[in-house]
Amino acid sequence: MAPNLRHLQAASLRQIGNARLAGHGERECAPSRILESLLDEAPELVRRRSLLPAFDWRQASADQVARLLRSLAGARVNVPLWLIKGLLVGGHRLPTATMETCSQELRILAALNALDDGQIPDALADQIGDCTRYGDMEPAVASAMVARLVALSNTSLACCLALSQARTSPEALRPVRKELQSEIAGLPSLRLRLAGTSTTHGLKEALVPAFAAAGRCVEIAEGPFGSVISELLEPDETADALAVLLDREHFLSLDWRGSAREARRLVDERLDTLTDAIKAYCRKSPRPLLVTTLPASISPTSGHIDRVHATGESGIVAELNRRLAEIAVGVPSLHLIDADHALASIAPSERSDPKLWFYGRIAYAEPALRALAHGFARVWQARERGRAKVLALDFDNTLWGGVYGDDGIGRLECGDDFPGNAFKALQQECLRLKAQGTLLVGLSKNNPDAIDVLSKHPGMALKDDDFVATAINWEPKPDNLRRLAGELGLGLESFVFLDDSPHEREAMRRMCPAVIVPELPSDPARRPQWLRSLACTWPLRLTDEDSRRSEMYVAERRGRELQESSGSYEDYITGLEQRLLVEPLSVGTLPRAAQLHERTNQFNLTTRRLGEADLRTYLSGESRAAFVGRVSDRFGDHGLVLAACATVQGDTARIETLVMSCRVIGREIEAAFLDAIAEALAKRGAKRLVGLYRPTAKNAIVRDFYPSLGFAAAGDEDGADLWEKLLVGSAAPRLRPVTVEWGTQ
Amino acid sequence: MSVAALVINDVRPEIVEIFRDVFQFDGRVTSRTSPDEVTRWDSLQHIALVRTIEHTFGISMSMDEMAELRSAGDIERVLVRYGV
Repeated sequence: MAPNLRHLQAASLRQIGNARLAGHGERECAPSRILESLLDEAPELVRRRSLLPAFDWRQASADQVARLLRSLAGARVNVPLWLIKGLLVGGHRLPTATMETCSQELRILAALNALDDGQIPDALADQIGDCTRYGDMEPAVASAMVARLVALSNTSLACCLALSQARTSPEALRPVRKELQSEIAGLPSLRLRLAGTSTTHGLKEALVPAFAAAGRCVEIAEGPFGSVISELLEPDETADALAVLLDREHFLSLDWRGSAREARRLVDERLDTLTDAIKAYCRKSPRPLLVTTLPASISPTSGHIDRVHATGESGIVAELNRRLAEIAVGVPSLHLIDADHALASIAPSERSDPKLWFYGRIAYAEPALRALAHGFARVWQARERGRAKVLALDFDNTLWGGVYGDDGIGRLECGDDFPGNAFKALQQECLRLKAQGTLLVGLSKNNPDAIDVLSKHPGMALKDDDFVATAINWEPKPDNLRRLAGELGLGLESFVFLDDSPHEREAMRRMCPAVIVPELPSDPARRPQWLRSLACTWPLRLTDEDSRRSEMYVAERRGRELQESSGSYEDYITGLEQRLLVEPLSVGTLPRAAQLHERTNQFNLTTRRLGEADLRTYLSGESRAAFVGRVSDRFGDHGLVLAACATVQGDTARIETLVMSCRVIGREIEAAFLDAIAEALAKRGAKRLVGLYRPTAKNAIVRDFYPSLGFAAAGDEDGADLWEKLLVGSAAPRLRPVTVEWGTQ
Repeated sequence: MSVAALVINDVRPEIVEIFRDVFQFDGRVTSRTSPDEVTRWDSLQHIALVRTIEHTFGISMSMDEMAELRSAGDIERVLVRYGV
């Protein structure tokens, strides 16, 4: 006997399916029997969206699903998206025709459900790989996909997918919990010290999958409860970094018996203690410090005047965040995890659970901890991998609405009016990135005159000169991008490719897997904000150099064009009118010198990654010297592109590091710089100059640097070749096509 | 018959599942199963238990209810109170 469905309208079928019926012996009210009685009415129920949306389709048999689809087809009722999703999550196969309008992730799940054995076709595996890189899936879909991959015994892909979705779909980790342990253990490890003003245990659990998704096996040592200050003042020497979780409550427990002024004084004392300890850590330890900011207040302590009055929570939160930002400006090893950005997509009621606060001083609920853990991991990833350096932009229907070849300039949409204003807004975001040091290149299938749109169309924010290079032709875009990468001397992994065409994106992903190819939203209105949230473009810090990088590349491009037109290479170099300004390293040039040491792979003699703290030790003292060099030529300024550190002992000077940005390679600038350094060191009494070359996978270009400049082999030391040259009695340096000047600061 | 006629015998399968998942407990789960038997049921895992129950059944417990849970039967009682 089927239960009377009218009485069950309000209840979820899933719950009923799992409960036992009392008074009917051991007979269970099986979900599939309930479904049986619903199938006759299926078209009507689907139309009304009644009962079936709550059904757990894992409980349905393949035969029942087939009958359901037949009865819908018979009644000419389309299979709606919610039903497709439910059936696919339930593990069922669907005819391809049904899937036509579905999202990529649902089509992948359908393809997985349709597979019989463990062999996943490469193309499908590639598509799943894309899902792990671009965007969050719906939790139910993510979990089903992971479970299906496990069933097809492709656990490594399952682990990869589960980790990539862990922030929004923690359930997806369940089917691979055991496998994950060995997957994660295989990643390079990172020792993280964790301290907080509240309980950090939950964060510790969330950090493991978050860092694993960023390619790191994180080993976490928690400080004792509430030990933030002592962890900051006595840094753990064995940890690679310190992570600090702050919460509002810690700074706010005011004593309301005294005056408001007195209460605020206590708050300020706490703020001072924390900020002083952070400053002390940064002075003492070169190891990175990752600190969360305080999230915005949800429950004001001073009502309407919360931002104004001395005891208002909002005002106090803003004050601490401002102070943290001030410290971070001058300290590259301090990274702030913006709590407001991390928690933005989480409802306030999900951010904390009051009973857990009272039970165990747990300030953040799980979804919030996952979001914060994601923030920590993302900052760490940016530190290690750097940001994408180049934005490769399609033209038609990406930078402007319409197709130049079909519509002509006049009908292209871009400007101050709807709907062209959405395209102009995207162009402005591109300009913003350019100002922050990202290079722009154009990649368009068009006749070459499409570039004229930028100068001739009145609504364009981008101009020809904003692009450091363009490839406007009918060649495949992956080929063009490879060529541009070669011209710019950058690897493919430095590129982000924006294109409205799914086919072009697909081609780029297959032909150039290293290129980052995010899913540009199909609605132009969504694109400007979407581009802002594209984390691979986020700067970790900005120097003056970043804002001028684009100009320098444009200058270089012009230089190359000259090279192509002038006769001999020597003529070209001489024609450049190069100027090199050498100066001792100073506080002002420290950040850029550190950046050069961190980023340079090719023209780097010893690949010692000296940070600002290390470089600071070269600022003064008898036995140490460091130099930086700026280069300019008749086409423009290349900025500060050289740095070197030397130690002096007796009459011997050793060049410990020597780095040069590859954008000025091959113009004898490096030789002129070395001449200048040698001269300066000789003035300090050095009679012998020793140079080191430590080979790496990427710096073969400088293997012959010292011998080519008249240095003689002098053995080796810890895997580095030593080269030496006498500074007295040797011939004067030869004339170079570079005018060298000395600066003092 | 109606929803009211659905009476629970002992603990429901989801609770057994939660015990397996949160405490890695493989023994038989009855309404009397308590921290005495379940070695991993300490104050830290208690939080995980509460979170998982809330998540699984879509409820939000009070502080008192959190303190009240000392056996699988207590969980049933709380769930019944929420009409789950």
